[in-house]
Amino acid sequence: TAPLQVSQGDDLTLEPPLTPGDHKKIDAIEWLVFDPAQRSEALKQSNAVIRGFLAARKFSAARQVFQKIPRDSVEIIHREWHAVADKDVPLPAGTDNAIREHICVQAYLSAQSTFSDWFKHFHNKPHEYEPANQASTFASVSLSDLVAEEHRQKKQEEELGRWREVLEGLCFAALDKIYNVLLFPEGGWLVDVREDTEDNEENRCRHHQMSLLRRLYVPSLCDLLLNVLLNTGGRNDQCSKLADVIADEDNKLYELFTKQEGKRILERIQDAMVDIL
Amino acid sequence: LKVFLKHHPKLAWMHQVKSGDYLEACDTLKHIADQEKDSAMNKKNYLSLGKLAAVFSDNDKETIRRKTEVIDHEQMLLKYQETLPSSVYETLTASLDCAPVYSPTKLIELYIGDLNQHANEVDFKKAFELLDYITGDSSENTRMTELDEWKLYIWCRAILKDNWQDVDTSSDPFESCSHTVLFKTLKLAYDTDTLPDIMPEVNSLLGRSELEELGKDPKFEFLMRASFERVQRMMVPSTA
Repeated sequence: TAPLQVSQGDDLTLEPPLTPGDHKKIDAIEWLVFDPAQRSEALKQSNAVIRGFLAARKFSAARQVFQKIPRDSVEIIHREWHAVADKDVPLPAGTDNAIREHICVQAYLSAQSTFSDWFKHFHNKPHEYEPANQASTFASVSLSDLVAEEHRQKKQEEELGRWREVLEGLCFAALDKIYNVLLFPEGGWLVDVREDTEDNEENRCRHHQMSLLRRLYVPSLCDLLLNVLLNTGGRNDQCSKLADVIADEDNKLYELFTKQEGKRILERIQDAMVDIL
Repeated sequence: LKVFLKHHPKLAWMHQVKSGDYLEACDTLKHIADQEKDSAMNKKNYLSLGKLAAVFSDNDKETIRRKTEVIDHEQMLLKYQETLPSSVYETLTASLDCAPVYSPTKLIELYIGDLNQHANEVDFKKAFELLDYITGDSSENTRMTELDEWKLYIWCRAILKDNWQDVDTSSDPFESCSHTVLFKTLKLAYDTDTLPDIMPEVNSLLGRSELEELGKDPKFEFLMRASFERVQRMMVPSTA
């Protein structure tokens, strides 16, 4: 696997274009899912490819790889394992971890896409109503003009109302999905629950990549969360809850921030709290 | 401005964060958290913010560790409050979001008192853990006797969770009584190696007024004495 390239752009929905090599990687996964006996290998390989794509912010590519893995894979992996192992022998740690990683990826991808939805909708705000012509109020206007003007005002206000309503809904969904990642149970997002005793190059590389992705995406998701809260009207009071989540000892998210990132997020939370004084 | 803000800590910390005095902000937030009694959620929030201010400050690791250690201790106490059984909150007709800050002794009472009808061994273990938070402002000696009282009280409550009327003293109580809250608590504490700190003295335990009725039954007394003696013996190799 190639070393991770960490990049971070400002436009939060912008993605670099896919190369022919990327397409090859995506298609390669398809060959692995034919044989159920290979499903756990397919899962591991898809995870590895996705890690590379996530590091390069190629979300749609990551999503394509994710979708190559059939939904019933976890079930199949269990079935295949118990065909060879006794009933009460648990899955190998490596396989268990791969399944968990797959679910972590799913949580992230859905946080990312709900945020994108919110982001696009937010930047698609309809124009607020502006009177057509100030002077006309004093000049003599025909009744039909007045009615038309009133109609236009009403229509635009309705449009704005609808936009706001959809924004609220998207905000709610985005918060939910982002918190799903931040509060990922049992140790946190992209953290193995079981220790894989096999110490080889591949495992070391995997752990290194996962920890880089955590350091990249957990602070960035916190930022996105604040963006959503601060731009969806009247939600400043919810910003301070993020401090509780970051400071919590269960997942120790604060360890994933650089001092710079930490100060920035703390200042943003504090700014939000000033505004509601 | 600083003088003015001294009297308004809730504004002061914001100013301190803005001007980069993270460690001062941490102290201020800790102070606000200590004052906060009406809302557990707010207290938690001030502690969290204070912790982040320390963690993200440019000070050396040791300083940061000392600051966060104190905050983590307080956060843990709030965790006990957060994880109270939901049925307890229902009977309190309060919710977690708007609950005041409970003291450690109040929390013990909530975990194992009458309000928690279905208190189980985990609740009792938590009650014992909460003893660490009882600080008492008196001397160390009186604190110890106070703690001993609490331990006996918690054990009594554990015993009273079950009906001991038709105990069978002929069989092994660790088998026949393994379903009782008392024995489950003993086992849990033993497995987690916390038992040595909380072992009661059998005579004091049986002398408690709560157990007066039960104590009249010689079978019960025998069961208790035999069981606790056995637990005591089991502990010896693990403490040695």
